[in-house]
Amino acid sequence: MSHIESIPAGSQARIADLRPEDFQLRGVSGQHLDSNFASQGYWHDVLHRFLSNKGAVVALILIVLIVAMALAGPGMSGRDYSSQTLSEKNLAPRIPVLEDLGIFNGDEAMTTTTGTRVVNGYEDKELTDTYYWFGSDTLGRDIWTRVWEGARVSLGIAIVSAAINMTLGMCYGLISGYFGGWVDTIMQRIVEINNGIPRLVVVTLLLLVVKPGFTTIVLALVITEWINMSRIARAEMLKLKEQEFVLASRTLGAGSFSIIFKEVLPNIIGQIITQLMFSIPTAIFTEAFLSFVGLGIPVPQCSLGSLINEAFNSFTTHPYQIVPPIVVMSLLMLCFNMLADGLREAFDPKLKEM
Amino acid sequence: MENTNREHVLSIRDLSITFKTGAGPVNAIRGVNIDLYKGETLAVVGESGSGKSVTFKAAMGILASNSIVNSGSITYTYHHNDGTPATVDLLKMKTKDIRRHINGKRIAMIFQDPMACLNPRKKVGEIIAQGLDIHHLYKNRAERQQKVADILRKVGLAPEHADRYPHQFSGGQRQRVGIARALIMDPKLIIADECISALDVSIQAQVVNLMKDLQDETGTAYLFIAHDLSMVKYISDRIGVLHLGHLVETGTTEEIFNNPVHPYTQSLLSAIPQPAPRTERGRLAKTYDYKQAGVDYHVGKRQHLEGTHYVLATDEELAQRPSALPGGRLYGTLVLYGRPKRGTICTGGTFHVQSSDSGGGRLWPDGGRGGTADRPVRDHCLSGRRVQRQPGHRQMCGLRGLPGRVPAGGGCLRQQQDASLLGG
Repeated sequence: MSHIESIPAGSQARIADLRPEDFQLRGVSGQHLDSNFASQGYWHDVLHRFLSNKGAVVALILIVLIVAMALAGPGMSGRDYSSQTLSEKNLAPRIPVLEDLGIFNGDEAMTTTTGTRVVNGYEDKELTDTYYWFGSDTLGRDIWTRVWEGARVSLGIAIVSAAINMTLGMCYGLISGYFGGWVDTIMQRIVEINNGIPRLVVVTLLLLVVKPGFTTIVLALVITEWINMSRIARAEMLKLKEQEFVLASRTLGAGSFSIIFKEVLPNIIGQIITQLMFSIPTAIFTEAFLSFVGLGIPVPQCSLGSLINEAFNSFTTHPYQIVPPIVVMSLLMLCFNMLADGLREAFDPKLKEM
Repeated sequence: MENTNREHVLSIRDLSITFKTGAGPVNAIRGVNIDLYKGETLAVVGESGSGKSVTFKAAMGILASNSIVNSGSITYTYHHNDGTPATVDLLKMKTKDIRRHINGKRIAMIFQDPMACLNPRKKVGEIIAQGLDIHHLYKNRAERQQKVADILRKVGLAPEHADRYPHQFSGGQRQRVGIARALIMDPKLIIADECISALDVSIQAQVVNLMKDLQDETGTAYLFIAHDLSMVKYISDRIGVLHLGHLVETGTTEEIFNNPVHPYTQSLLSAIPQPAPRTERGRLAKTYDYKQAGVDYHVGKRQHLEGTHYVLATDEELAQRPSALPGGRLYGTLVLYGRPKRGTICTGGTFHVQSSDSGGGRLWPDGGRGGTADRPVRDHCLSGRRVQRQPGHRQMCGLRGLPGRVPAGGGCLRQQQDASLLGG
């Protein structure tokens, strides 16, 4: 019984009158664990933000379609990409179902000195059962097959060179940024020297040494493009190097490389992936440019750029020949850019803090 | 009283560190002597830029690359498996060895900003177990999980929290995660670098109580770097005061709070808010400016006062200061009611009393420190206890432990009006 009850009513209990036995522990409630917010991962948020960006999702779907066609397309037409049928050259596109609607039926408008007239190569050569979906080029090769084969090569070059660039540039930039001091100075001077040499000069010199081909183009692209990735990696590393969690890792005894690749890299992987996606259309375009200039993939292999190069010559007479590779390449570049833009917004760290 | 049977953990002797900057060399700390014993809490207080963090970054081997250690040693004492003690100078160790043996395993750190000190991309369980991973302190994953779960429970979180990300926690919880990360290694010394400064007051209390309980349980020594003196008084056994890179005063908590000798310490202590509103109204914050005070830390020596109380002063300055009086408090409050006019407090220093309409009084010390004749030392007061009445005088207070010349037994305020006092 608490002794407070012995104090007469009307008088105030003073603090000095209270004793420990006057208090009773009411009980300790256990920890209340919420289940709503259990484990909200970083990638979960990124995916959510990415999917809410319609343009980026459409771009992703288109890219997937193009890649699927690049893999499956050449087999669909039943023709090889390099076999020439000279009797069937310069035929306009003719697609089975659509020709009944009046389009893509093999007609092409030829402008001559006397005026425009419609010519149908299939009827002239009595090819009733032959269908060239994208038409045929000046050597009688099927443009459909060549376009998708070219897309395969272009994408292959772009992805391989972008991947090598990413690895090489990322490691270089991270190491240069983390160690600082004279290591950083020397590495950045090397970058500047590399940057100062024009791309065309590099490729030309390379072609003096190595035969043109897939690996040569990849090598040329790597030599000139890795710098961008290393710049981004270094900039991000400089930002994060002074953060307290990096210092905390050092006080726990983590080594330098452990800190670079386990602590800092997961924080900047978003920017790296975005830059990777941006570098793919750059690589596609650079490869196309080199092919256009004549330094690209050698015949008989084709890439989108070499297709454009060949079709360029007959642009005024048979414009349909240049359209498919241009459309595919433009779509690829546009979609990769939109995808990269969507990724950059999805990875945006400012939205990360809650 | 030097307790020589207490075990040293860390012993910093005469440490001086300079930074090379673009504007010339900057002295970070000069001649710092610190002793840390097993199982106790040493608080190092000082304002920003006084060199608190630099001292302990030197112990951890994480000093900035432009720093030079001019002189001194940091001796760390540890035990071999068979119990024999061994010492090592941390400044002379190679970085690789510090990283492998000292960092994390023997000395751990807790940081100030709970938001920034946890990697946002890692789960909390990964963050806590980072030390275990680096030093390979477990045999299999199950043991690692178990250790993480145990330490989470110890700091007051649930084992299920190990799967969450730092941004899902509040500030106090993140600081607990930081403590767990340091504690899971079972270190002998934890350096808490202003670890409660970023938290609100109730959470500060929780975290500090947690740290005290953990200290009782594990016997870890804490080095508390702080600038909140009221918190420091609560948790620390000993205090060191750093100012401008010099250690101006060290001692136990009682020694420092009862008898602060150095003017910087006095100004720090006078700035502590008091919870009682009447007392607080009369509190005077003493000002101290290094340049104007005419003190030069470079010529001062480490002088022994009593027990473990040391102060940085020249011999002349020390002679001018009074020796410590037994007991008594230095600052308290005296509020004068009524309208006293002039009066003197027989402390050996004279004070003018000026009335104010609110009923409070203002004491104008002249010749004392901190005020001049033109500038009143605000609503300052001197405290003490009642002493017996003396005929012809109004009773005031016994003033004990004041700097200056205080006759034991106190003095009195001679004045013409009523005055009453509030005990400090």
